[in-house]
Amino acid sequence: MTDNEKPISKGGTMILPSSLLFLCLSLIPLGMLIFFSFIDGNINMSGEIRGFTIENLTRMFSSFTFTKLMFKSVGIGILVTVICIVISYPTAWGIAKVVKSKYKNLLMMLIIVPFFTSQLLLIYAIMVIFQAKGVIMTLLGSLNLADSSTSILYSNLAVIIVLVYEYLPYMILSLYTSIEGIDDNLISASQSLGAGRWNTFKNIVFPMSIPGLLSGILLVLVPVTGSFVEPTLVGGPNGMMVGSLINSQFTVVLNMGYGAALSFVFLIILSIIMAVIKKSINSANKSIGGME
Amino acid sequence: MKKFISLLIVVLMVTTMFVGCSPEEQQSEPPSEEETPEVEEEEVKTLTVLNWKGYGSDADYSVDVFEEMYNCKVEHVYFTSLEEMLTMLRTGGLGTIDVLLPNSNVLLQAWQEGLIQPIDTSKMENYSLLRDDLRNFEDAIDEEGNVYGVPWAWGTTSLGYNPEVIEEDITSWKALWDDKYEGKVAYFDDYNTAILTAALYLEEDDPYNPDLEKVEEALLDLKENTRTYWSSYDDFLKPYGSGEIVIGNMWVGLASTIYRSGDPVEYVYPEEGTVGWSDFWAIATDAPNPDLALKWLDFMSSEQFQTDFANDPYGAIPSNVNSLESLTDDLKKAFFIYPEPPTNLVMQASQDEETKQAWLDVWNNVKAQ
Amino acid sequence: MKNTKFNLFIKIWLLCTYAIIFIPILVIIIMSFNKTPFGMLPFKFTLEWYQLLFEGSNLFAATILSLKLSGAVAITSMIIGTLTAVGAQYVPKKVSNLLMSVAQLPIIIPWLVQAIALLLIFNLTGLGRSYIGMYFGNLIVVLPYCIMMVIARFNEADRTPEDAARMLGATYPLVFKDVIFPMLLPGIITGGLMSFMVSFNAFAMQYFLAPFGVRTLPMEIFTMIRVGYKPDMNALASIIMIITIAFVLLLNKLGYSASRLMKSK
Repeated sequence: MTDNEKPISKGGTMILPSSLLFLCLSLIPLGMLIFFSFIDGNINMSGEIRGFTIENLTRMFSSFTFTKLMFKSVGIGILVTVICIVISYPTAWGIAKVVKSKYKNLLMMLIIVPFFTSQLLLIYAIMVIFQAKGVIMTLLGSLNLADSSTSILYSNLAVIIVLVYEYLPYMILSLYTSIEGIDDNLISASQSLGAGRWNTFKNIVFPMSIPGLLSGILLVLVPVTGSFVEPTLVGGPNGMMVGSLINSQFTVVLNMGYGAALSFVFLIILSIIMAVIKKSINSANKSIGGME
Repeated sequence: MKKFISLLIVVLMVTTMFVGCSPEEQQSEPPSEEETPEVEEEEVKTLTVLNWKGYGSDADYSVDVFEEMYNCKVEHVYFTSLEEMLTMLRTGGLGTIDVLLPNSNVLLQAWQEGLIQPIDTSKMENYSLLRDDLRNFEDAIDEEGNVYGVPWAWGTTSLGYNPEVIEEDITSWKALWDDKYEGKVAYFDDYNTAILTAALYLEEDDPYNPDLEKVEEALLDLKENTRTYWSSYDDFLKPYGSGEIVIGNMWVGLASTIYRSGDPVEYVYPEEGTVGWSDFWAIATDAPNPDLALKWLDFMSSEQFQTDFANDPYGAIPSNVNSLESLTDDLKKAFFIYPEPPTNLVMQASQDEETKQAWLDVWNNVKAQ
Repeated sequence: MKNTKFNLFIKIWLLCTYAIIFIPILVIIIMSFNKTPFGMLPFKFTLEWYQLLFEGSNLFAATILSLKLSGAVAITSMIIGTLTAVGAQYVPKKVSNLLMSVAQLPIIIPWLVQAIALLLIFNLTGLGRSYIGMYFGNLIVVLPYCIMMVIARFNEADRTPEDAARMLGATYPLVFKDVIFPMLLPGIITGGLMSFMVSFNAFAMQYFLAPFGVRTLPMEIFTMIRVGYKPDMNALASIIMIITIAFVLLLNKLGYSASRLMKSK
C-alpha cells in the first residue's frame, strides 16, 4: 500500500459521497427547475404538460414588479450583510484571540442557543421588544425621542433589524473559523516589527480571514435576499421582498412554471453577485498589499 | 486509510438507521394495506384528516369524542395554505388522506381536478340540518347533482374597528380609505379578499369580474393608509392590542375573539356588501376509509359538535340550523349575528386559473410598489 | 502590554454582542410566565402555559423528533463535509472548483423550490414522503455549511507540519489524526453547529417531505398560522434554552477538566 505518497486517488474516493448526494439531490432538482421554467402553467396530476413556452420569462420582466423587488431585496441583503460583517469581525476576533482558550468553545456554542427555538419565536420576541407601548418605545417616549404609541415595526427598518439578528451567528462563526487559524506568532511578529493595528489587519488578519468572510457573505447574503417570512411579519405594507413573490407562486396559486422561472433567474442573479463579490474582495486584497 | 473510510461509512449507516427507526414515539403511520374481507376481528382504523391547525377538528371535544364513538384513531395533517392543501393531495396524498377542508374558494377546483369524490349525503343524518343556502352553494354540487362538499363553519370578512378610538358609526368600506385613519389600517393579506373588498368599495357591478386597473389603483391608495397586512389571528391582535391599528377588515372569528376577551371591538357589515366564505368538508379520492370518512362528515355537521365549536374561543359560526338557534344571545352577539346573520354577502368562490393568476399578480404588484 | 486598551474594547464589544443576542431570549422566558398574551403589559405571573405544555401539547414529541433529526443530520454532515473538504485538496483544481460551485447550489436555490422538487423526485422513485426522504432533504441543505467551514481551515493553515510529518515517514492515517484533524477541528465543530441550527429550523424541507401525521417542531409552530401561536410555545422555548445553556456550560466544564487531566499525565 502506497500510503506515503500523496493520496490523489484517495481524494477521488473521499469526495464521492457528497458528489453523489449533490448529483441526486441538487443537480437533478436544478435540472427540473430549468425544465419547469419553460412549461406552460402546471403539470396536471398524470404528469402531462400543456406545452412549452418562454412566456414565464418574458412575463417576469414585462411588469417591473420582479425587477423592482429584486433590486430591493439585493439591497437589503447587502445592507444586512455589511452590518453583520461590522458586528462580527470584532466579535470573532474576540472569541478567537482575546478570551481565554477554555471559553472559546463555550462562547461558540452559546451563539447558537437562541436558534434551538424556532425562528418564528425569535421574531415574535423582537416584535415584543419593539412594539408600541413596549419596552423600547416607552423608554424612547420618556426621553422624548419618539412617540410611544407607535413603533418602528412594520417597516423596512424592522425587517433589517430582525434579519441581522437572525443571521449574525453565521457571520460570527464563519469569521471565527478563519481567524482562529491565524498563527499568533504572525501577529506578534508583525507588531514587534512596528506595524500598527491597522497595518496588521490589512496585511495579515484580513487576507487570512477571506475564506471565512466569503463563506459568511454567502451564508448571509443569499438567504436574506430570498427571505419572505420576516418581511411578511414585520415589513408592513411596503416591506415585500422577492421571496414572497416566488413563494406565492407555489403556496397561493400553483403556477410551477412561473415559480420555477422566478427561482431560476433569482439563482442566476445571485450567483453572479457572489462571483462579483469574490472577485472584488480578492482584488481589493491584492491592491492593499495583503498576502494571498 | 481504507479502514478509516469503512469506519466512517459504518457510522453513517448507523446514523441513517437511527433516524429511520424513530417512529416509536410518533403517532402511528397511516395504514396502507388493503383490508382483508374477514371482518371478525375489529382492527382499529385510522382516519386521516387534513385541516388547519387549531381549527376545531383537532380539539378534544372533537377527536376524543369521535374516537370513542367509532373505536378508531384520528390523525391530523396540517397545511399552511389552501393551495398547499391541494398540493398535498396532488403529490402523494391520494390514498392516504381521508377527509379535508377546502373552503368556498377552492371547492370547485378540487373536484374538477379529481382530488375529491362525490358524497352520498343520503347516508348522513345531519346533512338536512345544515343551512340551505350553504348546502346549495353553486360550487358544491355538479350538474348531475353530485354533492362534493358538506358546509361546515362559515363567516364573513368584514369591517372591524375599535369603538373607543373611533367614536362615529362606520357604515361603509370608504372608512378604510379615509385620511383620518392614515397609518392605522390593517388589511387582510389574501389576494382574493383584497380584490373582492376593493371591488365592493368601488361599487362594481360584478365584484367577481371587476375592472382590475381600477382595483389596483384603489388598493395602492389604500396602501398609504395601511399599517400592516395581516395573515393570522396573531398578526392582527398584536398591533390592535398595542393601539397601532384601529380599523381594518377582519374575520368574524377574529372580532369574536377580541370581543370575548373583553376588549373593545365593533364589527359591522358595510352597505356596499361583505365578503363571505364557508368551509366545506370533502372526502378525498381514493380515501382509505370512505365509510369512516362519511361518519366524520356527519359528526362535523352534528349539532353537538358545532355547538361545542361555537363555544370555543377560536371557534366559528355553525352551519347546523339547530346549533345556530341554540346559540345564546351573548354568543350571537360575540359572532355579530345578533339578531340575525347578515345578508348581502359576496361569497368567495373558485376562479379559473387565468383569473386567479391575474388577481394574484395585481395583489403582488400592489404590495411590491 | 500594548494591546490592553484594544483588548478591553474587544471584550466590551463581545459583551454587547452577546447581550443583544440574548435579550430576545430573556423576553421569551419572561413572556412564558406572563398571563397577558402577545407580550403585552401588565405582567401577570402564571404557570398556566407550562401546564398547558405538559398536559395538552404535542410539542414535546415534535421537539424530540427535531432534536434527533437535526442531530443525525449534523453528524452526517460533519463526516461527509470533512471527507469532501479533505478530498478536495487532492483532486485536480478543476474538479474541486466544480464541486465547490455545485456545493453552493442548496444555498442559492430557494428551499421551498428544492423541497417541492425533492418531493416530486421521491414520489417518482417510489420513496414518497418518508423519514429517510426528510433526512436526506435536510442533509443536502446543511452539507454546504460543513464543507465550507472545513475548507476555510485548509486555505490559510500552514501545510508544512503536514509535509514534515509525511517526510518523516508517517503514514497517511497518522498524518490525518495528528496533524490535519486537529487543524480542521474548529471548522468541523463550527460546521456541525451551523448544520444543527439550520436543520432544526428547516421548515420547508420537513413540511413537504415528512410522512403524513409526523411533525417536527418548526412544523408545529408554522402551521399555527391560522390561529396564531399559543403562548405554550414560549414555555417550550424557555425550557429548551435553559436546558441547552446548562448542558453547554456543563460540557465546557467537563471538557476543560478532562483536557487538564490529560495534559497533566
